[in-house]
Amino acid sequence: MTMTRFDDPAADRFRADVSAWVAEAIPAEWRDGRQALGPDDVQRIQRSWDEALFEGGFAGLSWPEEYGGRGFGPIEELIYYEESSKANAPDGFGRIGRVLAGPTIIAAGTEQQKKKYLPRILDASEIWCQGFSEPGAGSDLAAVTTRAVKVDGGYRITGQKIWTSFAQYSTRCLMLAKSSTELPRHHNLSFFLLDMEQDGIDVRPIRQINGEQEFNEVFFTDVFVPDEDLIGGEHEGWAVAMTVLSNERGTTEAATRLVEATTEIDLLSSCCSLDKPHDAVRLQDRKELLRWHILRATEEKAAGEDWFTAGSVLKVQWSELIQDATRLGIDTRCPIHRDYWRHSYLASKAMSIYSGTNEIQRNIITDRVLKVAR
Amino acid sequence: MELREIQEVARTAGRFAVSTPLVATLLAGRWFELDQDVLDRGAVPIVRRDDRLVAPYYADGVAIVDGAGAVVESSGVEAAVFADLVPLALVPGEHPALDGERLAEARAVFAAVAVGCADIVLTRSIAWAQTRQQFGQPIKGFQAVRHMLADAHIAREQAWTAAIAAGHEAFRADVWAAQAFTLARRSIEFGIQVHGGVGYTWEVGLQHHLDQVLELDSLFGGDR
Repeated sequence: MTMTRFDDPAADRFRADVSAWVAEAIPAEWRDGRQALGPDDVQRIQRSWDEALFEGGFAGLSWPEEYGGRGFGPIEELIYYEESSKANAPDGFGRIGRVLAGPTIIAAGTEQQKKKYLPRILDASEIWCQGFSEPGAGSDLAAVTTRAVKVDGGYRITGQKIWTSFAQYSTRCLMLAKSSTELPRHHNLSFFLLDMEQDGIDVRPIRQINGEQEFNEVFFTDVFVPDEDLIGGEHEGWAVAMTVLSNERGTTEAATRLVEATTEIDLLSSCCSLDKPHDAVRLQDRKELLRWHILRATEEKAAGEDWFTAGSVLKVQWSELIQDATRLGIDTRCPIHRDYWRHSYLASKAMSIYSGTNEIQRNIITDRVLKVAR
Repeated sequence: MELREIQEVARTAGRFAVSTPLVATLLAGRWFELDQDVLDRGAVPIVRRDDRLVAPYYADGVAIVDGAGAVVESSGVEAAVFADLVPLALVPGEHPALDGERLAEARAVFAAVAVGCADIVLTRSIAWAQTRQQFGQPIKGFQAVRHMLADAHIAREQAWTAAIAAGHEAFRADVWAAQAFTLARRSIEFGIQVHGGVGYTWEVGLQHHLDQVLELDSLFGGDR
């Protein structure tokens, strides 16, 4: 009933281990001169960070030990994110594999799929992307129209995906596609582990309002997936996508966002031009509240509660917190950090949109948590 | 009783607007070896405010106990009306007041009462949205109303997290309690808005729950 895990001496030892490892593992050129690095150097360091995570044993913290993970819970994960953020560790390209693809395969994959894919996710020899959203299927994700047509030995995939992060580096894609035109909604989709290194795939970067090109649109034309790369039952891809994603994404994503919030709010607190320190204190308090909310959600999940009961509240909480922080950053009108705040303010605009818009989260709360029929 | 258990009881007491000093009595029972007759009468934790000691509930015959549980003051106080909760028990002088760990625990527990206040208003708001008809349909069908219910839930859940955190981090229980009261209040604000003009009437009584949160905030919300 109590949340004492954070006070656990084992958690303190783990924190010390992580902190020592991170300090050692971060490349000096990143630690001391990140601003001077060109895009190619940044890319090279991000790739090497994926490898370092694997070698250090930090790639699969919450994965079961039988699949090469450490078998830890979300608290250790949170500690890892906090310590790596404090040390300004780089972010690798393997995140989608570690956070989404791996747990999906562990939960719904065949033994063959586990043997084949999990080791390559952990050592980052394969980079994954997520083929979910489409131009016509954003908030209404179940409306995807990318077709999966059954052929001898597998499926042929044709369609367009969008907002696909890491697609340009990926060798595999978690693909949600429409496998039946007759079956009812939510029972007409299948979930595939698609090979990105074949003809018929066209990745086009999308320039964002902050000038970055983090995500892409991806066109698939008659691309083949063999039967053995179907995950979950045929036409039951929606259930796989929803249960696995809602369960696995929540704590980890909230933990990473907590770390981002910490970065922004710490800078705010020390920002030279901040004339309203009280506002920064409030944001610090809200950030601590987010941290405790993650702990509480973790505890309730361990006690058997459905993750979505807390997941939507967390999503709204972290996105609005970071947006409020970056807004205050702009309001400081700080001459030194002006460019920084402009960039992170623009970047934060995406947060109430991705991972399910905050409006969709509020729908989920009223529909599924408060159970108010429409 | 474990503090977290008292918090669960406190939340339920808040939900049903239990007007007896049940919660305070549970706390007193946790802290002191009290005589049964004191417990029977109900003990009230008190906060030092300026040179006065203030208790959160009106109770006929408030007992003020010192750190060893001995009754240092036991006197009838004037009857207070429900909407006029403060000052409830004013005792000048040097009585040992609620402070340190006990004050932190009281903050955590009364923050939980405030969450219960938000619970009942949200429950009533959902029921209202399902019954009240406008434009030929129950207002629960309108997304603007549905999102206010969601926002009330979000604030209420955050308030509960803050109350739990207050029970774990005594050194900043004042900050946690202040957050819990603010968030419980915000949750109730959404509930009043869902009720429309009806929610603004004394007869419907949402203000009792809001009053209770405001009152507890002024006693246990700290100085921030």
